[in-house]
Amino acid sequence: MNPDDHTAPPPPDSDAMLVQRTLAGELRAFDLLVIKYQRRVERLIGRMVRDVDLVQDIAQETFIRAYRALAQFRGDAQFYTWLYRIAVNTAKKQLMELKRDPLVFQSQLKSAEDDETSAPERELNAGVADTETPEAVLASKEIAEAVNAAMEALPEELRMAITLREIDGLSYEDIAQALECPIGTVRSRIFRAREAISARIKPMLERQTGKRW
Amino acid sequence: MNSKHVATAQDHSQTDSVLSALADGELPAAEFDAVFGASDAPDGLHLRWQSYQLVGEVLRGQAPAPGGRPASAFLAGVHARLQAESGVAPGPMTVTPPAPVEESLALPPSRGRAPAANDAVFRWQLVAGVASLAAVMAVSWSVLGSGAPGTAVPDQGAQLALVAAPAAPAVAPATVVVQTGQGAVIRDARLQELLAEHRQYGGMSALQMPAGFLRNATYDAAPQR
Repeated sequence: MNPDDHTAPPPPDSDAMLVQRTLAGELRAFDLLVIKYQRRVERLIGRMVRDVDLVQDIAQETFIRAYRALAQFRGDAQFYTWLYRIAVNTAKKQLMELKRDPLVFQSQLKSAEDDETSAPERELNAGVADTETPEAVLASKEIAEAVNAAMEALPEELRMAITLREIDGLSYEDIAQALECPIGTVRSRIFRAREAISARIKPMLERQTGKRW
Repeated sequence: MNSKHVATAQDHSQTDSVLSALADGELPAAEFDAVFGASDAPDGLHLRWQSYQLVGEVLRGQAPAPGGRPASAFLAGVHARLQAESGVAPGPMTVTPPAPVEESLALPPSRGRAPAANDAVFRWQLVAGVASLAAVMAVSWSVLGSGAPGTAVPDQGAQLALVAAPAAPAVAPATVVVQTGQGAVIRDARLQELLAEHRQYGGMSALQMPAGFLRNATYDAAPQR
């Protein structure tokens, strides 16, 4: 397929493709789904559970259940919406079993069920204040600062491309029109911008292996 | 801009940028195979993917969630669980893929049966299996054990009759002849033994006959001296 072809059909849903690959036996595809949604699931569960270790356990259980039920995902909804339900149900059952802090559980349960359609989006910006430690906050802050510093150091064309993509959420096609360049160029610029920024944070991620952040 | 020139100049980028395009949901299906190409070891693939995701989250104002476990450790935990459940030798790529389900079972989570809380615990499935087997054995035992070997199993009525028969005493209770003020009385030996131990219950009632079963006012005891 020619990436510069503006009449090409829209690319398939990445998550759905990763699901298909997983079902075909490619576990690395599932790994990518886990990595992509790990923090999001943890943030969601962190709103329901105070114990950080329990958050980790429930998040892990969520992905295990998702893996087992992956064949039931038909792509009618977004993958995360489907995963979100599994995560909430897993957390509820875990809390029922452990009967830990039912007051917090009930209050969080209510907020999570008020509006299930918007809940996945609402939890995006939710923090996990109860699980923060000074060391973890510092590590998180370092990553954010490194990303922002790397953004400042990017050439204008790369910074513009990744800004339009990540912050404004434009498609490659829209960015190509905005920047008056081929889609292939957009894709390349975004990739180069990501690589430049990632080069700053990869050492931090490697250093933090085995630690919490 | 000349698109042909751009495509030529960016061949390298097109090859390497598949992961980036995948992160953006812009990867054409035809290029999907390149994601899992041999150029990246799993750890390298994971690290690149994780950093891409983090970059996006930070730029969108979603600070990385503190307290989280690094993706590598988290993935290792997921792999270990999957391997433990599938019962295969350790190794990140040896996990049994989830089996496809029949179309009739392929319901979205909102309509399908939610996974049970103990689905993940294999021992519960084992316990359920053993319990089912025990129930079948118990029923079989009761059905087959009611008929003598080599004979037909009696019908329900006959079974009831058979059950009632043992209720009758097989041997008549021993009796003793006791001399009382009213003459010789034949008593059950066990009753006589009981009365001998508890004489206060063995007195005569107003009916002038031994009536230990009545709570009367008589009291038969040795005379006071």
